[in-house]
Amino acid sequence: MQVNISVRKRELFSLIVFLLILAALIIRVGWIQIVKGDEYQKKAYLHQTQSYSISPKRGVIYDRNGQALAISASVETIIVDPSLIKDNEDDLSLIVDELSVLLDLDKEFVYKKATSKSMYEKLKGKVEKEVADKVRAFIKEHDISGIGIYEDTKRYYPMGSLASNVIGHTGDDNQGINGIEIYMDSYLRGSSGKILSEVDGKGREIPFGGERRIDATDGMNVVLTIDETIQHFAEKTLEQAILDYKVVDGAIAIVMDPRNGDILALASKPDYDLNDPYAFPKGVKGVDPATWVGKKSSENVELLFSSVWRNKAILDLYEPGSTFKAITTAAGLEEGKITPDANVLCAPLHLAGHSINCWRSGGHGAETFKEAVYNSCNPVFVKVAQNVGVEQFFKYIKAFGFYEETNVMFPGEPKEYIWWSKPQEIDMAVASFGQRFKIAPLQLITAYAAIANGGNLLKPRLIKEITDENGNIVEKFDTEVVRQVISQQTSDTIREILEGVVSVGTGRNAYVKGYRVAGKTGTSEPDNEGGGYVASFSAFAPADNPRICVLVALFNPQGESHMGGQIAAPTAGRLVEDVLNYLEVERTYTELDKQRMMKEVYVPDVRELTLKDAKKKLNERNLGMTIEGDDDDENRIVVEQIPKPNASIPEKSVVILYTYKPETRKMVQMPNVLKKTIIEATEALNRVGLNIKVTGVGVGQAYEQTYDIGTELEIGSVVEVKFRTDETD
Amino acid sequence: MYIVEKTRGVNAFKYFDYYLFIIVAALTTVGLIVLRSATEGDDSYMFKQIVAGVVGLVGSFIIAAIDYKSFRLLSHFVYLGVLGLLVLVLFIGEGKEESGTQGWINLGGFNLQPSELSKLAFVLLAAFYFERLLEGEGKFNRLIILVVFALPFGLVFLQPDWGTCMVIGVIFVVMIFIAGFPYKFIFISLAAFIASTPIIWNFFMDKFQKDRILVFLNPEKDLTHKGWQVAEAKTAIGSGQMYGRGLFQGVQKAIVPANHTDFIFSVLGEELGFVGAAIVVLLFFLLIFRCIYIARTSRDYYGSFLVIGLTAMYISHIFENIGMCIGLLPVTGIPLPFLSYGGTAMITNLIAFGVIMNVSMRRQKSFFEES
Repeated sequence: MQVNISVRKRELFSLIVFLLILAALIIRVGWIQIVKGDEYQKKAYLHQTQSYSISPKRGVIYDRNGQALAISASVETIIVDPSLIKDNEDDLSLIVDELSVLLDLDKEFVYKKATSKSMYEKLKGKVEKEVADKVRAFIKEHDISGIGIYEDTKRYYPMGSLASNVIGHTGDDNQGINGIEIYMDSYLRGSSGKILSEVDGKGREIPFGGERRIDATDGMNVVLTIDETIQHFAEKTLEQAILDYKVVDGAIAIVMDPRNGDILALASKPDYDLNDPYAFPKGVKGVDPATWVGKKSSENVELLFSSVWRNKAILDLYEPGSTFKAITTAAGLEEGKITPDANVLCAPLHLAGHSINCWRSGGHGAETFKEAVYNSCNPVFVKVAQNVGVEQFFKYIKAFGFYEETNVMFPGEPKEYIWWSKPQEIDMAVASFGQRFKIAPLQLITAYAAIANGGNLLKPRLIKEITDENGNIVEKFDTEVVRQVISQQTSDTIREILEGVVSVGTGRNAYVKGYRVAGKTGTSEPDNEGGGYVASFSAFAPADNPRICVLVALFNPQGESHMGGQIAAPTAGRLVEDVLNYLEVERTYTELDKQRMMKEVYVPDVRELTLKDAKKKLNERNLGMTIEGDDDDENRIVVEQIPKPNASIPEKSVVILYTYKPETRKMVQMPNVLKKTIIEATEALNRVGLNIKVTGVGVGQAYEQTYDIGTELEIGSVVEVKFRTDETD
Repeated sequence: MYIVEKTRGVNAFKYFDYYLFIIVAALTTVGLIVLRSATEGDDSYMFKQIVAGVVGLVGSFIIAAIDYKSFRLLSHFVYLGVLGLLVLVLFIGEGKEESGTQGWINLGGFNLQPSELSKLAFVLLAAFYFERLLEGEGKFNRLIILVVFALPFGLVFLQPDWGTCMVIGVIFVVMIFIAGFPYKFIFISLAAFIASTPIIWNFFMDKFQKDRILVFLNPEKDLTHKGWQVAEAKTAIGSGQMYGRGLFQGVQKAIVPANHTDFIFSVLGEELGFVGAAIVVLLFFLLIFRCIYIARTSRDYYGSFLVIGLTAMYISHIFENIGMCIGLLPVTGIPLPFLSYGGTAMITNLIAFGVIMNVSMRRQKSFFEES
């Protein structure tokens, strides 16, 4: 027959296409086998020896004194080898039934794993040893093959929430997720070991007995500069402050050793329990415990990351407020534009259409520069900055490290700070008293450390060293001096001035008996992003030979005060006292301390004594007395006394002695002592026959009295009165 | 009507296409050896495959013996029968969970896969109408051809057996092309097919099929789940390098899933290396070459279209199967002709061979019978 020529042509054409397809296939096969062959050969080798990896033991995280903060406990992982189970199908239902009960798993889940096509299937990880032992007994009893038990480790944090957002936590595969755990992951992790077993042609392995084992290399230990005790002080102090001052957006406290830049404590509240990182975060606004699902919701996890998991002391930016005046002071002194005793004028200032006033209306008038620092007078600092000059002023800000990250060994330090690209005079003016820009708390305390230590800006040190399992140091992170910012002389001068801020200035509420604290208060106003006030206090002590720098910042306090001097300063003061005490820094009492100190004595028991003897005994304790009843005879017996024996009262207080059995006690009315100084308040109370107990900061004016005015009190009672300085910004 | 047409009988020995037979025999033999290796330890696969091979071969000889002119009529019944099975399988079909389709009818010990037969039935009938078309039997034929294509295609689609759909589609396109349909028409259909892919994707494909394609497009994204099949197959092939590990010496093959069916080529590649793979591809090359030669020299258009259609079936299987083993194409579960384990496929391929043999035995011997 006649075949259409075009059909033949088209047949030829398809032949060519078909052959080209085959050619393409064989070229590709050749590429894989010949060119890439070695690569695949290697891959295949890894598969040939079936392996199950053994988790390495994650390194320990220690505090500076060797206290373990994060440890790894041994647990076990239960796996199945479906290919071995397949060969013993009778066992399958037994395995499914028994393991689902022992391991608390779904039957269906176990069945699926036991019949899957892969080599090893993990049934359950992080199984406690006692459960694993039960599985072992089950395997032995029924002589079952195809179930393997391998050791694994589980992270455990003995201190719970302590330094939680510094240490961080780990995930299911022991991988770091937050904080030091993620930053030092490569050190802590170690490398996995392997259990190898050769397979035959069908991929069946020589059963578990004939396996070869490559041990895991355990991770290395990380030693932090954090001191567990100081961290504890810092957190406890913050918790109290949050409670007392109704702080709603969290709080931070940093304690740093200015001599070497060691971070001794780094507290950021709210925090979380490292052993239960996905639990409902307490102290976070706008979360409902009822809808909390934790790990299952990416929204929830995101919230954790941005709240309790987040270390605000390093990662969050805030407006430093007046605490920044120390930097302005440093620039002015170093440049020789001002001296502590120079005469300045605190009066409203007009600049580029803005009016800059002191926090105290009307200003402080004529004063010396150091008094201006004590009083925290804004206009004076603007003038100092103007004298330094815009360019020079910002050079100092840069030199103190505010333009760059501190390079602390911690993940996620912000890299972009808000600074003017081309600062104008008005920018400098507001910057001179710490407003309209944001920095990280760690940056500020690092700058303060430079001021305190003689002028060297240090790289803050959070990690001291890396050690191996025997405690040998593998790597050491030494203190690094970034640059010298100011001279030793300038440093000495500022230390003196800042000490004055605490002893007689706006920082008096940070006063600690016997310790010379230097520092500066700060209150920053709510920014336009909806944040609240930030009350802060940045300090170092002892002023003459600083051992610690302390920064406390309370975000959005809603209590009776939002002023740094009123709430952050006493908080910092308490922390300074705790830390210096713990560091065994000796107290040296100045004359001022001695004046302020009211020695407390215990009231002796003078009952059943004659008036004469009682008087003698009270005199020994430097206490006065008032006799109620007949006092004609020195030999009358004291029947009753107020205060009762062993009550602690200030010296020179008066003890009321009764020479009769008082049927009705003599009552007096509580006077008003609010706003009175300690001396005034003591006089007022003594006048009506009451005794005072001074509490609070112990300086300044009374701001709280235990009993309301007019309360009927038994004569001689001890009344607690709280004092603090209200003269603060 | 020329449906019943008298032709002289042929001398089976004289006209037997030894060349074609040897190629197929060689491929089947290699297939059995590799299957033996892939299913080492369980001889039942091997046994079943040999039974299917014998049944297929006997069937192919019977088919080769009947002059294919009678297929013009018979193919109608075969076609309708297969359509019936395709409908039936939608209701009583059994599936293997991992393949996502319900394409098997259990015949007690033997699982029949109607979709495999559908390709054959389609070619047998379509060839007849293409012949009529080329002999100028009017435009109505075009519609018939379209229906002949659409019915099995649609039914297989409903299973859904995406791979077989593709094979039927390729066969159809090749036959249309040979029939001399204007290029324009072919390009338009191609364009229409491409344009309809989003609709197919959104409304017809299930998650399982989508996953396979997504994994194919982003293999590195998911090595642990859907993509590992191909990754392991590639590793097996690649590790064979030039000469292979040696027969029965493969190790990696154990990890490759479906290594005796869809991924048998990976066992071949690992154990016999590039040399073995190249020999198999060369055998396919010779098979295709021979088939096209038979098609070009066939007695009539019907024979020509039968062979072209079946050749297209072979080539699409070869291309898709090897292509997926080496990561060129998405995984569709298309077996490799004569090599993959699977009774229905084996029988289908051998019957196709019988049909081609049939045409070959009755073609014009160009040397003596130039017409």
